[in-house]
Amino acid sequence: MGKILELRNITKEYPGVKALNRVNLEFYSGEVHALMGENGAGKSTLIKIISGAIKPNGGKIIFEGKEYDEMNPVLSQKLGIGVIYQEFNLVPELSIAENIFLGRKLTNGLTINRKLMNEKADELMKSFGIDVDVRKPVKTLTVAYQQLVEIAKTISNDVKVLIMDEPSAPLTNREIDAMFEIIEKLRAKGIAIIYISHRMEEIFKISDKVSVMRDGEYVGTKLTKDTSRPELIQMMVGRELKEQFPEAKSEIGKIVLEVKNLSTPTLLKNVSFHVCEGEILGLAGLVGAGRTETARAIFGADQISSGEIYVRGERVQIHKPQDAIEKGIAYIPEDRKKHGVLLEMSVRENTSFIALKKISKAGVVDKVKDKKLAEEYIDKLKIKTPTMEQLSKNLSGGNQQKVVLAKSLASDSNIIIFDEPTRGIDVGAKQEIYHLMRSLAKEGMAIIMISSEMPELLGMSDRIIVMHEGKVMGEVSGKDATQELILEYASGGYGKEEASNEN
Amino acid sequence: MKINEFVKKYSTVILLLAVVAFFSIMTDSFLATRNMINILRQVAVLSILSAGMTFVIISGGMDLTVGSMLGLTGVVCAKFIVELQIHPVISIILTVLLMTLFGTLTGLLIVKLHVAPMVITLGMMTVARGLAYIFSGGIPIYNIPEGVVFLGQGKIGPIPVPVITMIIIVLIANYVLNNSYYGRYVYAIGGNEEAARLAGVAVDKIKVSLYSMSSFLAGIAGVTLMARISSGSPQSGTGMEMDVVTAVVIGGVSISGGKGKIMGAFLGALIIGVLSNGLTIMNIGEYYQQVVKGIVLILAVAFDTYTNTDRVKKVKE
Repeated sequence: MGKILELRNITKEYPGVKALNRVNLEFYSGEVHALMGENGAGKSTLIKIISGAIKPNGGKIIFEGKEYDEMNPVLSQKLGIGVIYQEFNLVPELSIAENIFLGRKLTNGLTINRKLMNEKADELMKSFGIDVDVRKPVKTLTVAYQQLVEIAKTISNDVKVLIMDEPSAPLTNREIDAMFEIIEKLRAKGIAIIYISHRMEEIFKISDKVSVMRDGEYVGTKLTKDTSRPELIQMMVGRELKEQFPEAKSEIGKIVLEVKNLSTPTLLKNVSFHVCEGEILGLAGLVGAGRTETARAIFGADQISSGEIYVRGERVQIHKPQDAIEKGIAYIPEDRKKHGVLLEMSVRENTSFIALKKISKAGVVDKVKDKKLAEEYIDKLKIKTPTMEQLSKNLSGGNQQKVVLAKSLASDSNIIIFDEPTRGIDVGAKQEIYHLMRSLAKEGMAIIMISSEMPELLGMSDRIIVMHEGKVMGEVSGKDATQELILEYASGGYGKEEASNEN
Repeated sequence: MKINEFVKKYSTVILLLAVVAFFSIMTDSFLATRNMINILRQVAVLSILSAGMTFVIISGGMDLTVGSMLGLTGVVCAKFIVELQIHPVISIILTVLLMTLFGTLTGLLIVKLHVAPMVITLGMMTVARGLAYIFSGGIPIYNIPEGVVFLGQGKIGPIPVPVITMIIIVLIANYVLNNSYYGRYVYAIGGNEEAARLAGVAVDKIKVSLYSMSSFLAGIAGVTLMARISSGSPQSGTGMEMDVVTAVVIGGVSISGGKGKIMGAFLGALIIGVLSNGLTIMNIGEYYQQVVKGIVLILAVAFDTYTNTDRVKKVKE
């Protein structure tokens, strides 16, 4: 099919930074065109220019043969350019149907034709293979469903070009497959899809072409079938980067944390497992399997209804996060910005935050110790920041993640629970996080890693337990650890009640 | 430091200097030392309340009770001293203690009922005012003894006692907010309550302590005010809570929490004091003064927002 959108010499400058430098790209109808690049490569800037959210300093945007110097949001929408951003634009209090038809009128004269709206929304969701009550408020939905509502909202607008910015980030594998089916349908309808993602598997599964950007420059475009992972990675980082996980495993020592029959009022049922010194225990499962709930229950962030927790053989009572922290347990949450890093505080204030009481005398923080902690961890974790006084909100995702980690390490934690440690972090920073995790394990720490990324689970874990609907379904390690087996357990397969947790 | 950074950092100081310069040029008597001390005396109560309010607002909360607490404090304290004949020192301590407990109750209601601080303190503000009228029978209690009046009208050297009280409290509050772990927890709660909780901060306890502290300071301010007007009046401090919020916000404290400084709020209180004083010297009536204060508030916050709007460059990896 024909060319629908072309970018010619698009340039965008911010004071001191060239965010985009003479970028040329072409997009065709009925094609899934993946856009890759590390964080800061200019992908987001580029799509904002296409959607008209920001204006370029130079270059032309050619849409269906017509030249534009710049877009604006109203024009791009009128032309049929739809964008699904990483942050959703949904109104949580409104229903699914109301969100899908937000800003467009389906009226009976003066009043909204709610019946028609609900019918149309229902039809749309059903076409995605999803059966859901469209009158339910969006806030009651899981992130995955919200994502689908966002897609439905965008394509109900008769788009010709659909831009998806990391659409799979909040989804589990099964949900991603469902989304891919939707993308296939849209492609068949002749829509041009621009698909931005960090995940290689997805790119190879769904895209026809891949374009790579680096430091605001266009690097090149490949037909997906003619390229390979290493080639794309090399294009992205500009050098050969060894994939992917630190080789040497650490020495596994005594059991440090043991959980017995942990249950919560809402989800968990008799969850039992243990983790040892020097071990990285992977926690696999689909969204809603209860992995985050397990972590939060151990950490005292949520109440448990029954169960026992042992730290170094001793039974402990954990009712609130303070209790867990005192026992040396740290939790690095999934949603960094919401639960992890204190955005309005500096790197220094974040680093010492959990350890504050320990470095205070008569309630007054010891400034020297405060600075020393920050210095130590900026150095140890290689946090890239101009100074320790930099506000955390100005750091990149990978460095924010390191700040969260610094906060926990500075308070002498030795059992660390990582919840999706590399979500939304680019390739280079991922490597660093992996090496950090492994070197912490080598220092004798016990690590629990919740992850939805299969390569990460398989590459990092010494042992993996798999959860499904609040239960532990099985445990895999060594040669047994295969993607297929984990998925089988994760989807509730093999009918096993609970795997034996004794070594 | 670049000029715009400088302006941003010291915007409140610049605003204060501008207002002072304006009145110095427009009137002869404004800049006199006596008038300066007078201004400080006038803003003492406001500044003491602003210190407590700054903590509360930085934590993401709001305390509308402080105005009513002034009235309640005056009435209760005067009643202890004049009618119940309790020793003034004990009366004052007892009153401040009771006010602190009232604040603790306010804090507990906020934390336990999960209702917005604005709503709870609105309710408690009305309760406190009602109690002040009940205890006093609606009329001021006079005959405050000379020794107590000293706290509001006396001087040590050339400096009025309320000014000394104010300076001590502002300095302590400033030190605590800047240097204690408690202060940093307060910022964290206002910035991101859930992250603070997950970092092991006892969020609820700290919140309760904040409203206790705000009411404790309202108690001290209330005693000062009672001494200054030589009576415990149930009407004292009516509408004062809005002046306090205005001062704090002019001083650059973010109404949505997480950001601000005690010294900023203190400067905010000074700006309000200077405006009232200068406009009065210029013979501009109370009604016009309100209009001016309102406009200054909006301008100060708009300027602050303008200079803070994302012009910070992201640090690239």
